[in-house]
Amino acid sequence: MTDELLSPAQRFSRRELMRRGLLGGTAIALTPSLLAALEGSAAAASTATAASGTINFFSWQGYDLLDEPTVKAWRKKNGVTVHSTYVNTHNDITAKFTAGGGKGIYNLSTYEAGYGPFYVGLDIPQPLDLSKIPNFKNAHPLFRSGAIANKWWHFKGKQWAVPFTWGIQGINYQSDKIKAPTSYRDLLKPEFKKKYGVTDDPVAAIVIGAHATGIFRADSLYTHAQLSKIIAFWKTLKANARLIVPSYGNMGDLFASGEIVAATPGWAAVNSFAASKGDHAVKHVAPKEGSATFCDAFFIPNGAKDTDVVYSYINEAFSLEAQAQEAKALVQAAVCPGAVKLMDKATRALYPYGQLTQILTKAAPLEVIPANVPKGYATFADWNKAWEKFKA
Amino acid sequence: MTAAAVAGQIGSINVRVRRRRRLVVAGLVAPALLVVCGALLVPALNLIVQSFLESSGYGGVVYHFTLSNYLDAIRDPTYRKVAWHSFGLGALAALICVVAGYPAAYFITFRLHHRWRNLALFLVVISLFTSYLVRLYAWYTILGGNGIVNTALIHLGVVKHPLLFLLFSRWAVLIAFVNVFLPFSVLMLTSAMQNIRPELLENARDLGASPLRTFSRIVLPLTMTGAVGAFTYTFILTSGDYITPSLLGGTSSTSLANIVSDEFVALGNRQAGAAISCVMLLIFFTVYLSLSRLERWKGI
Repeated sequence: MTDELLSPAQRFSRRELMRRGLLGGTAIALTPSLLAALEGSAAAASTATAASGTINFFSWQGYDLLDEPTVKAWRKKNGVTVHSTYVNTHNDITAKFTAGGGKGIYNLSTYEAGYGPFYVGLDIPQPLDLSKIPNFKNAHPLFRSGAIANKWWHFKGKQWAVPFTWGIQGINYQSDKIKAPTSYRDLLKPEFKKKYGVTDDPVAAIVIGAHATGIFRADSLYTHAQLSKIIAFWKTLKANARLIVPSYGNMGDLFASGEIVAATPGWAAVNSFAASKGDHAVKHVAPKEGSATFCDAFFIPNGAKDTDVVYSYINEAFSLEAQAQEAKALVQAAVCPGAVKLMDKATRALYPYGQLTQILTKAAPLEVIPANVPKGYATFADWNKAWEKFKA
Repeated sequence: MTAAAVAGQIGSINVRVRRRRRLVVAGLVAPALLVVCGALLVPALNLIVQSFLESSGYGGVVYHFTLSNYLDAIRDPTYRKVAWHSFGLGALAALICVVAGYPAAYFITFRLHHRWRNLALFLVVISLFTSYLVRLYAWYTILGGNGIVNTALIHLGVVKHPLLFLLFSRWAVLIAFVNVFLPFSVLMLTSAMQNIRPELLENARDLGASPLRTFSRIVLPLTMTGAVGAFTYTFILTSGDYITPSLLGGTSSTSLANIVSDEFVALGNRQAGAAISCVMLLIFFTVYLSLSRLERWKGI
């Protein structure tokens, strides 16, 4: 977390978070599996009716919770099959449900908080019936009601999505080869020349770039001149980089094969992707300038079939065990406070759960997609166009 | 029965046979025609129509005729720069594939005993048995910083540090393109060479023609159709590829196909993407027509 975001008034220091993160990262490798730790733990009540069927999932790798023991056992018990298609960027989700090939085919997907109003405007999600997701009550109140919830998931009198995980995006690095970078500009040092990647994730990149150039705004309203300044920052980084990393999945491969020692924008889940390829030393750090904060939510697309089984699946994902397991597997934060006590020490230490409201409302607000902006400001299309030209 | 009646009956039988034959032929051709129409012509027509419409953003369309998508595609300096890189790299890859494909095809056709020819062709296509993505990722282990080439160079004392430009560069993309498309060129050229009677080559030798003259006056003209086919096929597929540049291209990874993909996926602007695609189609068509004229060439 950044110095800027985590000022003394915010009651926890970046150094402390970093220390915890590093200790936590080490502990992850040493502690017994979360499953063992969870044995005998109290299960959250699951009152939704389980339904067998098929879930056609379209989202990020790992969000389908395929390997998490609780959901895995639930799937087996109820005869639920999951067919997953993974995305490279969030734009894949937008394209799939607007350009065709998504609606009527996939019945479960996710959107990052900032995309909520944008997606509803594009008629992508269908309103949810929360009575079919009783476990959602396990989520922190901040995710269920109030300003943040009403901005991103519950508006126009309807619940459009249910947030299930959040996290930050900074820099992934190879901890057995380099020290944790403390600034994005560390990557410009000669020792990093042609040893890191710039990830093809325009939204996270522009939020990070805004932090790095000192012009960050929580509402994502940037003038065209400011957008140019952000892109100029990324061009400087690109000039010293080895490659543009096409996806977070590919980033894991690049770390595991030793081709890069760092990459930004990062994603803590890449630690797991690299670990699955035998590289257990990849870690994630939030540099001092600031990082992008995301919160992903399950949604059911319009035209989806077999929604009963999807509701049951989502409900199971909000069980405390599933939340704790997902937090460990994805190296992300759970949204259910009750899950924290089920986590092992290392996973629990990754995110400052005690300051959740402080973080998501003030210190590191969720990234915003500028879909509808006042005249004179860069739109989301401008962002994507600028990023397209940056890559060229 | 009179001769005229018999002739009439025979004629009527012939008509029925011909009609039945036509029906059989139509029945056999119909599935292929349906596939071509459904999977090629209709989408292509849709692409052309879309390119003349206005986008209202993210999948939306305004049914209003416009040329602005084409004007933007042609005027944008970034697109022009990327187009030069894409077509340049595609042309270079195609040229290398054809030039490198000739010796292999010649060896298989004229030097190998016919018993070994099928085995040789099998060896040529064996690399195609693995998926395209797997073959691309294989280059990580060959050209990467810790890859086979760099490890060998360091062990041999040729270099002290890994040559990082080998991977994640335009060279890497070019190498991957040649690796993927060379077998197709060899197959096309081998097929073309099989139409050359070996006696022609023997006669040329008997008449004192040098190997180079034999190649330029006999082999090249008679295999020009295969060479043009191999070049065009490789040029179109490599210039329009976006996976290889993304995975191996480094920081200069954007191809024109990536721009098209971004227009469709990131910007939801199908109309702009369609216009760039149509410009690409036009260029491919022009290249094909120009090269087709070479088929008439009868040698130096």
